[in-house]
Order: sequence, then C-alpha cells, then structure tokens
Amino acid sequence: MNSNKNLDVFVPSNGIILLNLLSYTDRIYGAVRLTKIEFFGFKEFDLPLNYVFYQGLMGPTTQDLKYDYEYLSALNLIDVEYVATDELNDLLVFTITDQGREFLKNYNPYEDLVDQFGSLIQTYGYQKKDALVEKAHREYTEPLYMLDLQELLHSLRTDMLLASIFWDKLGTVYMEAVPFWYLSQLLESILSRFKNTSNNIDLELINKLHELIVEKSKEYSIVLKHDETPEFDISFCNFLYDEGYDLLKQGVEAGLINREELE
Amino acid sequence: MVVFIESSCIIAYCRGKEDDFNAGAITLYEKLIHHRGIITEIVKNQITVRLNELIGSTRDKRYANSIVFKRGKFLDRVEELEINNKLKERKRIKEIQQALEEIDFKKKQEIMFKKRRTSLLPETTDIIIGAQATVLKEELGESPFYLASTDQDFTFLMVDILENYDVYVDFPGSIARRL
Repeated sequence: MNSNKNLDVFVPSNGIILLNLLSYTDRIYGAVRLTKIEFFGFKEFDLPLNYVFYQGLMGPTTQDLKYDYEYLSALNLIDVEYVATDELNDLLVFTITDQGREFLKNYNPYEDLVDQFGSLIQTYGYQKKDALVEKAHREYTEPLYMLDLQELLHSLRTDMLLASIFWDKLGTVYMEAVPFWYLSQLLESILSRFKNTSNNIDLELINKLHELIVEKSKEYSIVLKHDETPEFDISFCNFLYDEGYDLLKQGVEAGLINREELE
Repeated sequence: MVVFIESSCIIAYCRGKEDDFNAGAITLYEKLIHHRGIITEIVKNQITVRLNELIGSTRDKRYANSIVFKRGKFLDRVEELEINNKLKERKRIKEIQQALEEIDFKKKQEIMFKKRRTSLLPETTDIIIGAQATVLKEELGESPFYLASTDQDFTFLMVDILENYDVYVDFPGSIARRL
C-alpha cells in the first residue's frame, strides 16, 4: 500500500474490493448481479470479503453489501443510478467515479489480486442475472458462507490499518481524534500478532471495538466530505482510552504485548 | 484519610521519567492501595485532553501504549465521585474566586509567567476542581483530606484558600510520605 499519509476518507476493505471490481468494468447492472459476482468472487476467486452470505430467494446474499455501496456512493467514490424498469423494482447501475479511481491509485491493499478481479469480471461480469442465480442455487446450497478465522483476522487488520491512517491524518488537525488513532493502531498490532484461538483474548471485545471504529470512521468521513467540522465528545474519548486499557491488559495476558513496553 | 487526586498528578505518573514529579506520583500510587483516592469527572476529562496532546505530539505507538496503560492503572485505583450538592459547589466557586482576587498581585503575576498564561487568575477548571474538593470533603466527612497536585495554581495560589476549608494541598510525594 502507498505509504503517503493522506487518506481523506475511510473505506473499509470490503468497499475497496468493490471499488476494485468496478474499476475493471464500465458498469455493473443490478444489485442481485453485483451480489452474485461478489459471492462467486469470494468462493471461486478467493477474494477476502468479510461478509456473511446467507441463503436468500436469489441464492446466497448479504445485506451488508447494500450498506457498503450506499456508503461509497455517499462519498461519491461510486455512482449508483436507479433506472426505472417495467418491473416493480428499479434497476441499479453501479459505476466507479473518477474520485474512486483516484482513491484506488493511492490506497489499494489488494493490488496483488489484480488477476482475480480481472478474471472474475471476465467470467461472471457480463452473464445474465438468471444464469448467475441458477448457478448459485445449483452449486451453493449451504445455509451460510463466511471467511475462516485466519482470513477474517487478516481482513480486520486491513480495516484497522486503513482506519489508523485515516485517524492519524485527522489527529494532526483535531487532538480529540487521537484516541481513535490509538485504538485502531492497537487493534491492528494485536490482530497482526494474533495467531489462533488458544491465545487467551476476548474476540468479542476485538469485534466490538472493530465495529465501533469502522462505524465512527464512516460517520466522520461523511462529515468531512460535507466540509463540516467534526465534533468529538470528551466522554467518548474517555471511553476509548478505557477500552484501550482493557485491550492492553488482555494483550499482555495473552502474550501478544510485551509487558516491559508498558512500564 | 482521603486523597483527592488532581489531574497533573496522574499525568506525572503517566508521563514517566520525563516528568519531575514522576517519583512522587509513583509513591502516591503505591500508597493508594491502603488509602482512599478520589477524583471527579472533570479531572478525568482533563487527563484525557492532556494525554491526547501528549500522544498526538509523539505518535509513538510504544509510548502511547505505556501512557494508556498507566492511565488505566491509576484510574483503577481511584474512585470517581459525583458532587451531590451542586448549589454548594457553585457557591464555593464564587467564594474561591473572591479569595483569589484578594491575593497579592505580584504573587499572581509570578505564577502567570511560570504557567505561561495570559490571565492572572487560574483557569476556571482549576477553580472548579478546588471547589469540588472542598464540597466533597464536607460530603464525605472524612479527615484529614488531602489534595495532591503538581500544578502551581494549587500549590502556590490556592493552598491557603483551600486550607480554610480543611483541605490540605501538597505535592504527591509529600502527601505520600504523610500517609
């Protein structure tokens, strides 16, 4: 990844994969088609997508993808156009914007997956929706599909790395943003040392903090995008440091952080 | 025996050897196993603001970890109390402000230059903390009641004022020796 620390907005790893996919094609028609492309990418091309795909009417699906494309569209990194059809639903057309391409040029942790993105679009990007749905129904019948633990940790770490770059930049302008930077870099360093579940560490706490940081990073990205001044609550800063302390204690007990570092 | 811990004391503990008062703060921290240490929300907030600046200026991950760890350790050992009688607190703030105005101009000027401030009087938060300490002293009804601080506003300007309310202000090391 490019090391220049100039990340204006935060995009989670799932969002970056979506940007990458869109950068290989003019446009993708339809939300169902997009979901299926992402699902096949996840199963057949080993894309590290951190979604839980569950069985829906149209085969394996996930609600989180919707939140992601809506968020990217709010940041103007992709365009989501609603085209009226003769059916009940509008057809969604996804395209990447120039800003999105610019973002990818600067920050792309998945540059080594270029071949996978290219061949995924070649294989499934231009197929009919019905064919994709039928294939999904035929070949993937399990109730749930998700990443295994190691890949999941890797994906969470990528998120935290991106978040810490984002908050590092924000922290130079607003002192109150520093606890976010601190917590994201702490999570990143713990996740990178975390090898297996035998490490005595509370994965739920990590998950909770990860979600919190991702959610807050998105919130503040949108605020900054609209050129508004972000407001930080001091009691929330206290809370972040308290949680950081809990995490540190667990990291020390699990042997992931050297105790001498803290004294 | 109760010790009200002012933020500068905890910051001295978190900053480590760089801080002149670190040794005293460590001794006080050790002694607090057997004695009651208290803070209020405003103190906790001050610590966080100050630590934000410290971590933000260094961006050293290791240093940040040590600061956050020490902050947590210290806060684990003290109780965070709330003031029940808000009216009394407000009254006390006014009393302290008045008493401060009567202090000799030269003394106030000296502290102003030392603290690189632009105003003669201490910051409002410091006056509030002083008032809170006196109210808490009465609410808890315990004696002796100490206020540990390394801040010149407390240890030079407000020491006599607070003593009128039986709150004894001193540096953390001196208080630790008396415990």
